Amino acid sequence: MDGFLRKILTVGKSPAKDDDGDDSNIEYSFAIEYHGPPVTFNIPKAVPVDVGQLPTAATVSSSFVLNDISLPVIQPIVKTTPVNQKLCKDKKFRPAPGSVRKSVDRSAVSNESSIQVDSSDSLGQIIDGGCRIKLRDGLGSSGILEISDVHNSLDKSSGGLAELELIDDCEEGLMLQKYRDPPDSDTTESVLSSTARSSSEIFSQKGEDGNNETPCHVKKPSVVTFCDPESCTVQGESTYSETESTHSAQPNARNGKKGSCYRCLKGNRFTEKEICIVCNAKYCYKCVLKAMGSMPEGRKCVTCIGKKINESMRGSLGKCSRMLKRRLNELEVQQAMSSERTCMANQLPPELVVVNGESLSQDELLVLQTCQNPPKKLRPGFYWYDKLSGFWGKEGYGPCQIITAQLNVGGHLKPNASNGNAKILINNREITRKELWMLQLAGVHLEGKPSFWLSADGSYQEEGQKNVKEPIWGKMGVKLFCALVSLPVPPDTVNPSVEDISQRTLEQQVLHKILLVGYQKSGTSTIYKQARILYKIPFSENEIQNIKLMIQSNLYCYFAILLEGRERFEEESLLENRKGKTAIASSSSGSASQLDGKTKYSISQRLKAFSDWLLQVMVSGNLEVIFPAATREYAPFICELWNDVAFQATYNRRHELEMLPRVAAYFLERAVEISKTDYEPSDMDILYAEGITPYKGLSCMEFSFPTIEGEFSVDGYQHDPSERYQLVRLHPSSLGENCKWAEMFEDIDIVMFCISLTDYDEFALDSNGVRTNKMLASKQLFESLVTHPIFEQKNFLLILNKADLLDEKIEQVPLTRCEWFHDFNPVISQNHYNNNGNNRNNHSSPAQRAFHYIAVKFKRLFTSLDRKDRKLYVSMVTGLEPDSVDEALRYTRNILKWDESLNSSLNIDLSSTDIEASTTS
Amino acid sequence: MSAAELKERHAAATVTVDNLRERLRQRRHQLLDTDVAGYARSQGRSPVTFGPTDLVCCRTLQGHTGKVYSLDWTPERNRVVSASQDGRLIVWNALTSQKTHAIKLPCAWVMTCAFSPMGQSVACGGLDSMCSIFNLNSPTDRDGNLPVSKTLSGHKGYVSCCQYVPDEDIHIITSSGDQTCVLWDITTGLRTSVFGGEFQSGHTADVLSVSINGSSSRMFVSGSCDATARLWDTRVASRAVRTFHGHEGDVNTVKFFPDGNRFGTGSDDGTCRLFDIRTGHQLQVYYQQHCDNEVPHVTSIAFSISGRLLFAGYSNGDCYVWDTLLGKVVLNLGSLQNSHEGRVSCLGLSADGSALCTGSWDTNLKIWAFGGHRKVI
Repeated sequence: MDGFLRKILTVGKSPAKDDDGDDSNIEYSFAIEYHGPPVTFNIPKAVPVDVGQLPTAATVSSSFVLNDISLPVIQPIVKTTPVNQKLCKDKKFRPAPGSVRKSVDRSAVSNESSIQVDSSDSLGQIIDGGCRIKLRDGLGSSGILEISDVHNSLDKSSGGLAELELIDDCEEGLMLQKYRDPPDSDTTESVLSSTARSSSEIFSQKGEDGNNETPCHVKKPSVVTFCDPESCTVQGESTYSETESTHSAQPNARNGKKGSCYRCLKGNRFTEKEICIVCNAKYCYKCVLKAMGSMPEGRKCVTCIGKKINESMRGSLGKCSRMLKRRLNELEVQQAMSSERTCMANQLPPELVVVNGESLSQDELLVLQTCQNPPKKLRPGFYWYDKLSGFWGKEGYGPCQIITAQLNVGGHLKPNASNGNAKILINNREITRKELWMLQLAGVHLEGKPSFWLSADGSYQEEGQKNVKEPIWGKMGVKLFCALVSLPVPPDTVNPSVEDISQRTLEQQVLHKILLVGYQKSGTSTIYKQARILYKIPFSENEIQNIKLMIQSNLYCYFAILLEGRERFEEESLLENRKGKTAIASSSSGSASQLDGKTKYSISQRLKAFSDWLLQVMVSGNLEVIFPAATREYAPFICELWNDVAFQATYNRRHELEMLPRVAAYFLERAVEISKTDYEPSDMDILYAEGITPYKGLSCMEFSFPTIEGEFSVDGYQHDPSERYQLVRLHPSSLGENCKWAEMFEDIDIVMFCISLTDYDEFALDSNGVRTNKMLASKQLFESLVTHPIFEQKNFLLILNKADLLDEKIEQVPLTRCEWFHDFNPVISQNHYNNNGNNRNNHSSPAQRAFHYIAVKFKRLFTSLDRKDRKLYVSMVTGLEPDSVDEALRYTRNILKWDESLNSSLNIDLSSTDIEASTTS
Repeated sequence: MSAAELKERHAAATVTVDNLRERLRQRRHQLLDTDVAGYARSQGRSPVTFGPTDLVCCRTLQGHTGKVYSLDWTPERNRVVSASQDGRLIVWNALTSQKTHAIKLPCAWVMTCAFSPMGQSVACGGLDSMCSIFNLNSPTDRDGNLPVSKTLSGHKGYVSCCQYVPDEDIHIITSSGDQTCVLWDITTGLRTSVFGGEFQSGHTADVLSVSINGSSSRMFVSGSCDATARLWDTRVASRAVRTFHGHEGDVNTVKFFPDGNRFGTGSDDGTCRLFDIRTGHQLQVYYQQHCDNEVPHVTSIAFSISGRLLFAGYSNGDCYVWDTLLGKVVLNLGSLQNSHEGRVSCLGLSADGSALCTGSWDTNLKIWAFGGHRKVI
């Protein structure tokens, strides 16, 4: 029956012929169902079949189909082709594909009774067939059938099957599991089963044609068009599809016939498809997601990811087909298109843009794209650019746009750039006829073919003359005329996309990452904040609020420490008082004058209550719980307390209180002001405050070094001022012994390890409550970082901080107080003696010598720990001095530069040995 | 009382505690006559078998440019949120494998992320010591970035893990490097309770992971660098309900068993363990002997919907599927085709149990689903 019908269906037969249902109830009769609006376009003609385009040869030779069974390949395809075309014509007419499908189903269902093969049966059969083919494939290609091969191919086929089902599922919002079920199981939805039925019908029909048991997939390329894209034929693909990685090894080579999907080899020219922007492979509705995966770079085959795009597709960058918009929801399309536009691999390659005969560099392209009026739709090609006036056009053509003038891009403008023949030169370019007309209209005197100099604002000068003429744009009608002959006019609005581009390019730029760490109170936060002020990265409102909160709560801590000290002093002096009665010359503070238990450290009852309360809060450790309410409520107390005599007496003895940090004095002096609610921390306050946030989190900033005049002559390196650096500062408390975070800093370029030079005689309680020297604790942390596998390859810069304080301290406390520095030798003091005359000399001051000694100590330690022959760089810094921090960071930049140019080992030696040389001498 | 005396008494107390702990351990050992695997074997149970096609990688989610650190599924829809070192959170549609949101974070060092039960918002936390909440429905700003809708600040260390309390979008539990876990009220942005910390009996090192009991959401368990896991009741913040010893390394991950009476842990010592919260016993150790001496750390675990399977990601790129009953590895996802090339850093099962998502340091996420005729187990 079928066969008969096929025979009578000749090429070019009109669909109306099928309408008479008495003909037969085969499936293509559904063409009659069309009731849509009249067609507005030409109906595509059913082209006679070109034998050369038949997929038969390709299919057989491809690795997909290897069965040596003789298949009824050619005949059915030839015959069905006209039908297909008709069908797809049909489809085009239909506004709502859904209705088409329904009609298909209906007719299909009705047909089923007459057509003998049961749907589920044929399905199963086809799946089996697919597997079988895979097996044969393995056999055919390798000759030896290995078990793993079989597994693979099995895996592939079934995997593909599952995948395919998944796709459908997502549309219906079903669970994955359902999709994994083979189509013949009961779980499939009604929609699925209906499509399956309609397609099974196709199969059964085919089966009749050839022999029933052959796998029918050879015909499938033609079959697909029966269903519109929304109702995928489930089974057809399962036999073909492979797992993502194996598919499309050569995406450009299509096995199917012309116009078909590159993946499933089905469909024709009229099937909606999405194109890979790299290799131009086209995929149909159901294959597109499998072929393109999650589109990390937009519409590219999985195998094309990372490759440069086909330049002819640049215009369509970020514009996807309607098919994809139907396939995915709006958000997904947005994301995919935005990554297509912004990802690195899809950017315009600068070497393909040639301006005035010279191809651009990356920087020039950046300049061009980020200027105020960038050229629209910049594509690879040859352009000319008039630097003076901003005229821009394609080489050999007239100007098409006026962009920002005075950009340093490309070479010099040639007279024949725009291929003009008007014999008049503007800015050394022979203008075109149209431009000549425009000039005439603008009232420019053109007698004697003069040359002009035209500037960006439109004012012009005749060559060799001084008087500047009025802007040509001022004349009425000029702009209108320009619009008529499609000449450019000066832009009056700023291109809004500039920001977008600059942001994108910022993202692309390589960041040099600097990790700043150190032991507690080593001054890392000061350096961070100093850098922030130095490179003008303002603190946000939120950050300032946090800092304010922190300063205020720290103030309360200082008060608590002082109050605690006061209690101690009171007790002591009371004790001494009693002693004083017996021994006269006892008390040093001279507080014995008070009677009845009163000393100069005693405070009033009210303040005592406050003091007790504050101390209790401190002990329980929930100071932040009462904040920031505390500032409001207790500000008067702070004020009163500060003015209290006893408190001042304690304050004067603050040096005896070890717990009180040095910066406390800075804030305590202004306690009254700070404790107010409307206190606004100044830059100085921020700098002096301990820490950056009260939450002990990580802080980071991005900056670039401002250029300083004469810089190049100093270090001899060409520094790109736009190079970006990121300074990441970690709070010491997060440097736990486990270093769980360390692996996150894999991409750091250099570690700045900060050590406070004054730590050598200070002690801190470690986690076990043991008193340890802070310098040794720092050393231990340093060791653990240097030996950490993540930092094994990294450069280290040792920052010896608080150099100013060392100056004071070294005179009072010998460096040998720290056991590690026991051999800080007296030779230096001899040196000191010798150089008595010029004490100001850097190398002779005791602090300098101590610095060099410590630096060498750490260098030796570093060398002993290090297996990779790295160098430890050392820098002396005073965190509170901007210049000192600037110097250290610029030194960091140099280290990174040295590291980049591996050959410059000479430089490294020079810079790092100067310390060694001076100390060992 | 002098300092020396105090110190002495402290030392004595420490010794006593250690003694008691040791006795407890021994007693537990005595009481525990068998483990799960031994019992199951004696009952003649046979392990689950897996063919090579039973669990296949059917989606690869590409789009991150840095190591993936964390992922979470939505309970009701098939969406996944992932956090990566490139400083982005990406919300994926697991079925189409497309991104629906890409959120640029103010702080790039993110360690954890979570989907809210209603699927309306995502939370993340990291080295900035804060937990940031993003509402997926809020409009993007000028640069196309989603603004932070709420910041939960108060931790004094990095935020290592966060999980929403089931069935409500307003509470979240975070764990942190400051040795505490915190229950937050998102609407006010304040801490409802703090679990552990300096003056309470809690973890003595960084807390790395939390898991909330699915059947009664007031119980949760936490795993820490002190090699213990602790069970907490959200109503009793002052002390842990129970402490589970056993691991010999940092407990990187904890996950409640589907029935809520047991939980699993994964640790730096290379083992996964199963603990019972009612008896406090360790039920089973899951450890695969490796030929070389390098013991891979367990980075993340998840149970199948029935609890019969335990998925565990390892630092060497392996991802074992354990039969929890017999303590045997039934499949290694790392050896399948299309598997990850780097460490498997996080994994999670979809709410209906039909798909597994793994995230790796190779910047990709993969969706694995049961293939063929196999039912969800």
